[in-house]
Amino acid sequence: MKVVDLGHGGVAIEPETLTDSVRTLTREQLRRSEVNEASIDIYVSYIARTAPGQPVDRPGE
Amino acid sequence: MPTRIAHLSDLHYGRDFDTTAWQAVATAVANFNPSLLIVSGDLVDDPRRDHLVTAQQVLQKLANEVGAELYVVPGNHDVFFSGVDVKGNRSGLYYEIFDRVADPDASSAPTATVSEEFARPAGRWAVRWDRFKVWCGLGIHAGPQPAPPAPRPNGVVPSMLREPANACVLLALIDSNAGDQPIRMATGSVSTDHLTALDAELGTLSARLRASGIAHLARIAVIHHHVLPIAYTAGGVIGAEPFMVLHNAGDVLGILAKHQFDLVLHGHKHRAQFARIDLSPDSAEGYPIAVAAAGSAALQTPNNPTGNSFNLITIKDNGRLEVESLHYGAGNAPNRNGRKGEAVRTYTESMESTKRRAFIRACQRYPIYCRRRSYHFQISELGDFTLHHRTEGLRALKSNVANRHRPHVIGIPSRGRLALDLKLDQASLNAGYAIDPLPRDASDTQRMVVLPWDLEGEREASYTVSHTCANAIKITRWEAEERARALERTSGRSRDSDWDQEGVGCYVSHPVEELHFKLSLPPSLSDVRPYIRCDRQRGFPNYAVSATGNAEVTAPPAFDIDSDMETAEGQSPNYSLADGMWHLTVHRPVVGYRYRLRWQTPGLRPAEPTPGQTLQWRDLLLSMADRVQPSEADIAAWRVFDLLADELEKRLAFGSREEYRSVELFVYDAGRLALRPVMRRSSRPDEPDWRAFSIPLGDGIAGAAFLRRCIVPWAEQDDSDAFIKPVPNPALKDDLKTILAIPVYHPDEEEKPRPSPWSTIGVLSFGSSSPASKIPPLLNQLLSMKDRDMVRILRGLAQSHVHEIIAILSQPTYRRDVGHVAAMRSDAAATTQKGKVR
Repeated sequence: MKVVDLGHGGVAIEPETLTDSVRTLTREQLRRSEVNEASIDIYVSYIARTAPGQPVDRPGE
Repeated sequence: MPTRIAHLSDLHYGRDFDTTAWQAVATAVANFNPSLLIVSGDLVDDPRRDHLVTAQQVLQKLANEVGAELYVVPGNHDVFFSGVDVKGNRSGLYYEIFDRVADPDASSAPTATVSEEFARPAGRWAVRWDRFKVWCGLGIHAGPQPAPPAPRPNGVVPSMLREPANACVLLALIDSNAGDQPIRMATGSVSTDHLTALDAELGTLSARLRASGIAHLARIAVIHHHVLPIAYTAGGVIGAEPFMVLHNAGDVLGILAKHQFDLVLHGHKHRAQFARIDLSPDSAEGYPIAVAAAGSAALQTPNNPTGNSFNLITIKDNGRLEVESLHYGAGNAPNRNGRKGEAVRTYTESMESTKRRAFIRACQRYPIYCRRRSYHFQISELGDFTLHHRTEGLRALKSNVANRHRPHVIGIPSRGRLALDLKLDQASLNAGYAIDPLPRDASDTQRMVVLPWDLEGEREASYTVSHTCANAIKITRWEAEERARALERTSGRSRDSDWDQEGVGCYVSHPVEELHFKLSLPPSLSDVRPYIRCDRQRGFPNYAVSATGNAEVTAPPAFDIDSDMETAEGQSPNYSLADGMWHLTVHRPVVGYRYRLRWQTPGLRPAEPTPGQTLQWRDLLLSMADRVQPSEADIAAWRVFDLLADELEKRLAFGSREEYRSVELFVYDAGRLALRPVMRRSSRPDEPDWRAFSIPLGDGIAGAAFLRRCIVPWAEQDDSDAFIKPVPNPALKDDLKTILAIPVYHPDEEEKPRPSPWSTIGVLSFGSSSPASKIPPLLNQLLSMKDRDMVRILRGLAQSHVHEIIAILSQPTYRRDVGHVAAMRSDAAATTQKGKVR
């Protein structure tokens, strides 16, 4: 992640490298970070549904 | 609308008049649709009453038919038989018959009853017989003749100046058949009395025009004889020139140059010619004069290689002159069907000349002048706009100007807000400049800079001011389209043609020697290529002058694009690799113009189905917020949101009992052009209806995160130059000191370095009243590894949980037993949320 100056007192955080991808998080990492198990399940389910190469689970379709 | 003038000359109704050619000329004039019909003498071949009355009536009829005003001056043939003065006996018939044309207040009228059409002329021998009789003092044309108007005893000369009602020009109708000087053969001269009177009247004209608030687009002199030699040997006879000239052409030209005439129209030598004279070519103050000669419009010219001609003159709305000289005849049949003759020679004035004339006129009209104005426009990634405006060498040209206070207008787009008010730089403050405090009820955008001394002619004022408007510039095409759609919805009219354009610039309200623009664009606009836009306020150059010496802008402002001016200024600014900025320098910009640097907002629509699904998901979330009674799915969705809020609070909150915390999910509502909260949880149970709040597109912290599609941390700062701050919610009791805003995207775009705005659903926001929350470290330029991981986890949780909520809401009938992961886990999660209030 990198911090970008927006001027006038503002900054933004932007992904910089592949390691910044949200998709590289693992269940173990999330557990170590004390994420609630229910939230971990939601995250894992989301990644599974929207994995690259697989069609996105289109809600409502 | 441009001013159109048909300039005819040397009709010579009489012996060799070509009625067929005249019909073609009349058709061409009618098709040109002129405001003014000007005839520069020799309307008839001989000053017979019947011919003069016919000429007057035919010309007036033509003028009436095309809706033009008719102006004429006499030629030598209008006052002398054969056009030649041998005996010094001028006829006064022209003055009797055409006084009504030359002077609208005159009461005399034509007395002869004749045909209203030019008739086929009598035979050549009949005309010669008439002339012979006149020479001998015999026949009806020899007398009794009215005498030409005698000089008035008090020396007063009737005004030669006219201000047509249909055109914003000043005319000087000059008689070159002087009665007080000997005229020999076909030569001419202008009476000394007339020249003296013209000089005096023009001398007082400026004051009169200022008092009446009138500024002319052009000054035009009309005279029969040529003020410049015509480069043509009449009839091929070398040596005839001395019998044709205007004896005091230098006097005439000198007065016209002195009083800054733009155009001289004449005839006499039956030869079209265009010339430009600049009597001060080495001076920027030299005033260029155009001289246009028309040939004969309808004289039979079987042996004249130059043929017939007349001029169609266009004065564009910017004052630029264009003269089309239409040639026909010369042994060929005239082009009777079309507007154009067989050959058209066009002279178009250079914009340099047009600008020079406009500048000199403006210096006479406006009481202040500025040597240089520099505008440095800085655009930020968030569409904020800062202007540093340097005024150099401001001084008074006249004493009647309010000269201590200088107004500065702050232009704020309707969507934007003034973030940093006008302020002087330190050097200007040190020099004694100040800004008047705003009145308490001030709502307009005008500020006053107070100079340390009265503005004077010799003492220049120089200072720098700056201000900033937030959310003032559209950064992406997506934003431009959203705003255009919103305007269509609210106004009920289709979008403007330049809806996807953006730009910065200024209005020139008084004479400025040099205008300089510098434009700094943010990286996301690094691919745009600005172009120059010049538009002119309607009514040029007749603007009211304010008490402070500025050309006032009408309300509502109305401007027209001037493509001539854009071409003249080079159409595109220059990019400097040295400072990474676009530069534009305009010398002597025209008062009443806006000069702007514009560009097309960048961005392409992503491939379907991303935009369509994003819209659908936004609608799902917004519908939930609008439901009075929550559905089963809503309740399940809230459980997921609670889980998400727990994770944010756990990682970002300070943790004290006094700390106020809130977690909100904002979703973009295109109908309102705003971010609306659809889910919210805070630590204060007694908050009113938080759903009524919304954040204008691009404003606040969440708005910045949404428009820029990146995570935005924020902490309150003491720095007076920092203006990025939350949109205040008056319904809440607690102020937030720190905020973290995380955008949520369509899954197809979440991994892109800069996801498309078409795929951005909304923003998850966490706020804390504690400056000691975990957010301020995220503002450091170098993030710790721990903070990087935290941001990544928060992004992942925001993305996954909001899509889980969308998944729940998108089920037609939500059932817990077949629901999503969230539903299965929700009971345990809900237990941990006891005591937390939405």
